[in-house]
Amino acid sequence: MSDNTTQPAGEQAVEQAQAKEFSAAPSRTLWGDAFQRLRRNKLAVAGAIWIILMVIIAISADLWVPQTLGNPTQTDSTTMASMSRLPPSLEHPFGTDTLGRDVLCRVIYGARISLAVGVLATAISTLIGLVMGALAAYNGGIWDTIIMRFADIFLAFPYTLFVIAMLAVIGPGIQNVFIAIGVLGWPSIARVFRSAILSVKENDYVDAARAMGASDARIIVRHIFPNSVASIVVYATMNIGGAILTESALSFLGMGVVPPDPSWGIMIQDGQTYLATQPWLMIMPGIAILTTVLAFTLLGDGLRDALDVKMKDA
Amino acid sequence: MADAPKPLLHVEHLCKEFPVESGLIASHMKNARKVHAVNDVSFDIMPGETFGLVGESGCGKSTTGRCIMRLTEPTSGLVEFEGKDVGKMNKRELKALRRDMQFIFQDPYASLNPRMTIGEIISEPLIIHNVMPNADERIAFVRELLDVVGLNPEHINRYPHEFSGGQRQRVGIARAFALRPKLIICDEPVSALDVSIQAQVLNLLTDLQKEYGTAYLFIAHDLSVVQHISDRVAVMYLGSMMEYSDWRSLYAEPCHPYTQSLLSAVPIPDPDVQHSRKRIILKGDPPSPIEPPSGCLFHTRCPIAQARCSSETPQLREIAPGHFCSCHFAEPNPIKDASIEL
Amino acid sequence: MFGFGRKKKQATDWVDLKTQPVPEGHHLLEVNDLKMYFHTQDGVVKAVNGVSYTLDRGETLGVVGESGSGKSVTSLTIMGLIDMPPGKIEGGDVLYRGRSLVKMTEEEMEHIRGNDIAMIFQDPMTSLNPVYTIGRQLSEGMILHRGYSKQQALQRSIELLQMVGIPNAEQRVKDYPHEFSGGMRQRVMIAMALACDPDILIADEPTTALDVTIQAQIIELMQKMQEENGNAIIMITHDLGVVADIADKIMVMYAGQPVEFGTAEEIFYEPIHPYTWGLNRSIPDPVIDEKRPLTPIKGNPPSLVNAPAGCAFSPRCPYATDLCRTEQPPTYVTETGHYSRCHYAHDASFVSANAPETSRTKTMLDHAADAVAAAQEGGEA
Repeated sequence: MSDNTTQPAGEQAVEQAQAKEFSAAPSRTLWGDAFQRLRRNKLAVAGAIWIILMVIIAISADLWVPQTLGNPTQTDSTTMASMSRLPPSLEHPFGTDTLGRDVLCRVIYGARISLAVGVLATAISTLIGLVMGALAAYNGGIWDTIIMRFADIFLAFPYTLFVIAMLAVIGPGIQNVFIAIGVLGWPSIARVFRSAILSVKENDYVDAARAMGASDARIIVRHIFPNSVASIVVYATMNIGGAILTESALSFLGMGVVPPDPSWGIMIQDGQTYLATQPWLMIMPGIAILTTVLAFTLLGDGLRDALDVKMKDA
Repeated sequence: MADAPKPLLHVEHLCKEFPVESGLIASHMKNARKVHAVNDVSFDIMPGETFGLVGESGCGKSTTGRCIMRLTEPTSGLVEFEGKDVGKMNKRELKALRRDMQFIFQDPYASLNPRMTIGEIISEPLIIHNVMPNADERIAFVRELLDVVGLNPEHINRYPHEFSGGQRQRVGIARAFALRPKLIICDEPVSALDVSIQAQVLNLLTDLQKEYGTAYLFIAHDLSVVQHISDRVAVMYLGSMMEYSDWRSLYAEPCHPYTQSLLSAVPIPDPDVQHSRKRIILKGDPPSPIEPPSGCLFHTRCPIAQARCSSETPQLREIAPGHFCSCHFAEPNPIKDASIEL
Repeated sequence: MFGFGRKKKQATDWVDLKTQPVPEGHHLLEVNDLKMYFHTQDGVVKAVNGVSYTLDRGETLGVVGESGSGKSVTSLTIMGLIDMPPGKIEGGDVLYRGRSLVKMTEEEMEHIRGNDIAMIFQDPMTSLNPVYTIGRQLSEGMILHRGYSKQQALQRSIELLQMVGIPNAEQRVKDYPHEFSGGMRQRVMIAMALACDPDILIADEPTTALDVTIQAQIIELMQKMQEENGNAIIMITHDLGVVADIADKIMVMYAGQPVEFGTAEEIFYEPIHPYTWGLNRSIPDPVIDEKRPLTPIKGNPPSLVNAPAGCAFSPRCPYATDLCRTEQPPTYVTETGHYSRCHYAHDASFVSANAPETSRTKTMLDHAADAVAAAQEGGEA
């Protein structure tokens, strides 16, 4: 900056001091900052570790579970009587069920289904929700009214009943569970994304982009999406827990996964008869549901705090 | 007048109304209430000059700026940039226009995308208009630009939140100047900044103007800042233009009672001067722009209003060469008896 | 600030300090070397670092500074409105009529706040509670501090609203804050602050959110109220024009420290601190005929966590020497009480060589030139 009046000596010192002030602080990105904040949140880290552990166990199950714990679905009629409903022991840490299958083995294979339903159904909901939310928020006017009223209608029905009704039409089965939970979950995601976009759109930098002649596509991709995606990441994470719960509820009611495929919901349903005598049959899958859903909720909570731009200076 | 210099920007009878009711049906009703944000505003900006637009909050000065760039679609009126009708431009022409016309925003926090580095922010207009397809060339240019606006070129990869308000405003200025536009609309560019930083940014804008010959439409509520930077100044009230003239005659001999009271209300940082001058205290608040008063918009608060003012709308007329005023009783310093009333 | 919803306190067991005479040798308000630090994760923020001033009834103190200079925190500390922790008073004292506010209990402070020292804030939109009527919010303090009945308080509220120039006060007292414009709300805030006839009115940027014509109304109102009630005003602002208008004494703050303190005359016409000069040169002068180039202060305000080793202003000061960068300057006080924190403030030649021109020095120079011209004419004749 040039100056019209002569400044006495010392100006250089000013600039040097400024340069020093800046070189001292390392450059940080917003996502990097968020990660640092997330790491400081012990509950969120615990949730994340639990989820990662579950995923590793579920994915690698085929490599070691059948050898050590046996097959999750097949039953051996010759030994069934002697193996039925054994209490937890070293050989069967979670005990065995009515048909003599290892409960731990079935919980592990059940995790595969639960995690898959949680992630895939949420992916479907998020995809539909993102498109709908973006259409409503960006176009506004009549689009906004139609899409959001449509979403309101969806939200006006009890969610689980709606899913059951849909499964009654398309029939039970694992793929149909994905589809039903996924397709019916979009309205809340669309709402969250729409309001995120609307608040980001208010920012001057969106106007600045328009003022420099940026196309709509560029504005959405470069400016609106990166700044509104944080809320979706948070919401989707929490939604996975919700989807897992819904799947368990459906299977419990016999509308979801078809036996003999292991599902936590089916296991609880099977075990409820023996709650007084052999409680592990019900408690073990129950704990699996509880910890998994809790882990996703804690991680989502932590992400929300970490991704909040307003907290960047904290 | 064939020889008269052609204005860079010509604004004629610009109007903008916003519906008060936001509902789908209510806003399309025939008698829906409207906010008259900008009401029949006309002016010209010459190449390389600074045209100041002052007024209190809600007087429509920012909306005027946004309408010129078509960030907000005007309701009616003509905006011509270098003789071309901005209102009739299609998307492609509008994009071309935005190479020559840029915008500097008030809030240095909201006007920079927090997820982009300042290098990305400043090079964005270059990418959009494909001015420098070569990335290395572009980076070199951005570094040079950072140096010009007084930022360290080494900070090209930093994010906006690592900078102070004044430094962010420099980033915003660098972005506006990246395409070497002919006109920059500055919407309150210094009002969010501290006094010492304000002066830095004002000097930077003046220096850049000297170097590149850019014209400014400088929108602000602070009269001393506008006076400092502008060649000509227009005063707005309730969406209409009350008076405009070159800065010297406007500040020395305001002809509109509103201009005069506005000037007298600005406290002067010099106790001798401040205590010796007469202050005109206007009664009450500005009326609502939803139901603007009849006749002269200012008559409800004007100390010299007469019966005629509430019935007859005064026209903006030239009372001295280059000095326009919309008051029935326009004359230098029209309020003679500055009585203080609360 | 009036302790909404708290248990009603009996005014009888409390001697109203306002009615007590100021003890011999004391001022109404004395702030001595007050230090308020915040202990945060990133380190200690020295938000108020050695503020001193005195104030008497009828006087107006202007506190000038940029954002983050500690001008608001100083007043909040005096009012006991800082959360501790993270805040902590690290030294100094505040004496109100000879009594230390710093040592008072929270209960005693509740008698002081609103009753003896009242405060108005920058944003009239958020300082009023939107769910209560104006009348109820005005009455609150009077019922609490004065033991008024509801009816008495309402009657007094109407009088107060009339006093601050709100038309149709009998009706307006039943209205809610959102039914008032920004300027009107600030008038209500002033009425509320003056409800218990306080000794000191602290106004924290009361006109910053308002338009200039409304600002003029509010300043006029504050001056009129001061004339009638004789209260002292502490006006916190960044606007040198506002302090020139109303202040008797001015304290200029920078990075938590008062860099210069003196009467308005001294600060505007005989400033001795380079930061005060810098501020003066940074603002456009609205009365001159020719455009004067602005001379901004270089750089940015320092972080209060890693304050520079020497003088806080040294990184931005164009006159800084090695001494300034290594050693904290002492407070240099003149006989009139005008003080400055600068190593060179006592050096008259340094001050006269570098201080900015003011309207007074200009007239003096003009007079001198006229005298010379007259002498020459006289000589020729």
